[in-house]
Amino acid sequence: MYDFWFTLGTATIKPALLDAIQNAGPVFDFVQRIIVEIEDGEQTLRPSAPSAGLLENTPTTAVRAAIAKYVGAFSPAAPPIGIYCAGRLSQLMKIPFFSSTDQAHTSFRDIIKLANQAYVKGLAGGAESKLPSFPAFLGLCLVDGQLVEGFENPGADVKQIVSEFGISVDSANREWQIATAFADTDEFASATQLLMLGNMNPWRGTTLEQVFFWDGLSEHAIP
Amino acid sequence: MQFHKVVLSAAFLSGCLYLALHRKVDAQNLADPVLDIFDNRALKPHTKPSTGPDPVIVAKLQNSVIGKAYNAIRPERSLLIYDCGKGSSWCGQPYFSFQAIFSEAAKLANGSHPDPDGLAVAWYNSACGLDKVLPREGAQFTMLKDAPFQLLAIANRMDLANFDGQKWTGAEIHFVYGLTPAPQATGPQDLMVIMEFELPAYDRLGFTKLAQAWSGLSAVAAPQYFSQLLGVLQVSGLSLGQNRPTKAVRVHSRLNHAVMAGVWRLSQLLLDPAAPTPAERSMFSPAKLDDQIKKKVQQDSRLYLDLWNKVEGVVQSGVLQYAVPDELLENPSVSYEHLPQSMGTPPGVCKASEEARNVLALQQCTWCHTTESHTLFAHIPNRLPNASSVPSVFLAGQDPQHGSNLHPSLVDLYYGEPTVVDSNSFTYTTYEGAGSPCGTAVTKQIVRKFHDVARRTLFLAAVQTDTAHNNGRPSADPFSTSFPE
Repeated sequence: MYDFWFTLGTATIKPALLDAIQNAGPVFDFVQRIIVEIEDGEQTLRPSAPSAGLLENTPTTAVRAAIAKYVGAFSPAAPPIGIYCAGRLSQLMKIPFFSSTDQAHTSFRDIIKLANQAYVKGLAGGAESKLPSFPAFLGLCLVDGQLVEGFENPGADVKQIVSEFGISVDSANREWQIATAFADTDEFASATQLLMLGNMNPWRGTTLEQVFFWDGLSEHAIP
Repeated sequence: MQFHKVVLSAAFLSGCLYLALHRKVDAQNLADPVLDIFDNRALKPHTKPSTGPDPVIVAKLQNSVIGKAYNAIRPERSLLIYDCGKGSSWCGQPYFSFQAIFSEAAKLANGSHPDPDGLAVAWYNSACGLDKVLPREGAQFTMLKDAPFQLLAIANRMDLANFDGQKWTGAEIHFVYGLTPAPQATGPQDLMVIMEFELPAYDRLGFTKLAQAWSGLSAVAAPQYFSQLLGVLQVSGLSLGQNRPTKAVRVHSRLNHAVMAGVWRLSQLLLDPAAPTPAERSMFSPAKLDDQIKKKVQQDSRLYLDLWNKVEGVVQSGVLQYAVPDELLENPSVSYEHLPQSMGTPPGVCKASEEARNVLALQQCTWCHTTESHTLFAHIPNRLPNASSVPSVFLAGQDPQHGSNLHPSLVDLYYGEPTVVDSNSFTYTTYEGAGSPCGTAVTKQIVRKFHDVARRTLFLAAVQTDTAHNNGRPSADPFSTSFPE
């Protein structure tokens, strides 16, 4: 999961990562997936994500290699990239729009563009972070609303998770400054809302990518 | 909350409401155990004998006047009307559309020259001012006829009324809407709007007649249901298509919206012809969230401690609500999430009152929509076209998908049958330890049981059977509340 967060955060800082993925030729064949859960004999039809689909070996492997190459050049602290991360990015790139009510402005590229604008605002003209885990933290912020929600009055749980990235909840801490300013922008709000809640997003029925439990989705996360 | 201010002022002046809110009842001596089913909004715990329900209790429940009226009511026809699926005779009627309801509100804003389009567009713009993600949802419109909202439910909220010794004040009718799903959508967007119309005050007899009219909808045959429902709404004070003024006194709009992964935003606007400024009298304006304590009031702060001590004092005197002072009320918009634990008690308070915690937690929107009521943010969630909304377990009891426990038996309610009612087990942090201050945090687990539609049904039944119109407290007292969802 850390590789997915890191990739998402790197794209936020350097949107050109998406060009590298595009050039690798991602393939994602959309299908309708129906999931029925049986618990204590009771059958429940789970809500299905509108953007479920199938991967193919060669292009997904190429996407994995492209991401690994790009993030490796971006940071010596980049993690190895797994095939799940490559598959998820292939899917995100191939979803034509995340909101069917605004099809012209809600592709993954549009979302990353918004996230990058938020990041630039978050920097406020100051220095970028050199913390190796910082891109992953930015990526996590994009997918975990509950973490971001805790920025205003950080409780022990938020402080703990933030510390796992080597960041301290301290107004003098540069990473904390950037992250909180990043998350406080309108562009961030729009990007996260589209990414995680747009009506064509991949997270309608389940979620795997968060650090906090997302009631209603995370209980179905493990297949 | 303005309503609370009015109500509590009246209470101090007359003492009437003070009595109304004292709901401590000696169950052992109670002639009618129906009156002992609810404690505020929760079901009172009654232990069922190992041999089965106590036959004396069962007989009393069967013979209860309120109980008999309760049994005859169909909640899905008289209280929470939400069958909007294929074949619904009423849900698609233009009288209940978002457009029609804004026309009703426009009459309230300007009786002589109502402007539904202008009011609705201004409402949307005001809502966007409170919820910066809203413009991304495709909910915008320039003409009211294009507003993309579908009806989810009509709720009879007569139970929000309180009796001040003379009149019932504060009853409401709620129209619940959801963002109309895009054609390709496989699931509805999590964006709902409740338009809450406060009805005029009723004298005791008038309120009883109104309850009888609503209750009468339960017996209406399907082909006549829509016209009868429209008639009862008009009798309640709404004009709905009639060329006459509305009798509603104010209308709240509450918008509940998923804005981030696992995070929702609740925003409130108010149109109040009695407001101090002309703008507030003619437009929807941001209004502080009723009964909600500001997020910025930290639970370990002195401010919260002072507030807590006051709440404990009020609750210990038997009053089961606390009017949060205006300066501590939450802003018109707040984001919230489903937390692992529910609202705790402040450090430094030993043996904190569980009852005070229960009262203070459930009256706050952000707890009532999550941990406190076993709910995932929405009590009436959005729906796909041709489907019905699935109410929360807090409202409709177990198996809300099928509504099989929407109208539980009185015996199941009395004993809080967990296969029927919402049985919500959760934890909260409280403090103990020797000496002062009490600073050792401990996790406490409690179980609270709810069935809010049943409570509302009992309220309706108690009002419709109220015969003591000139003396005594109404027997509906134990079933009323001041807290909307």
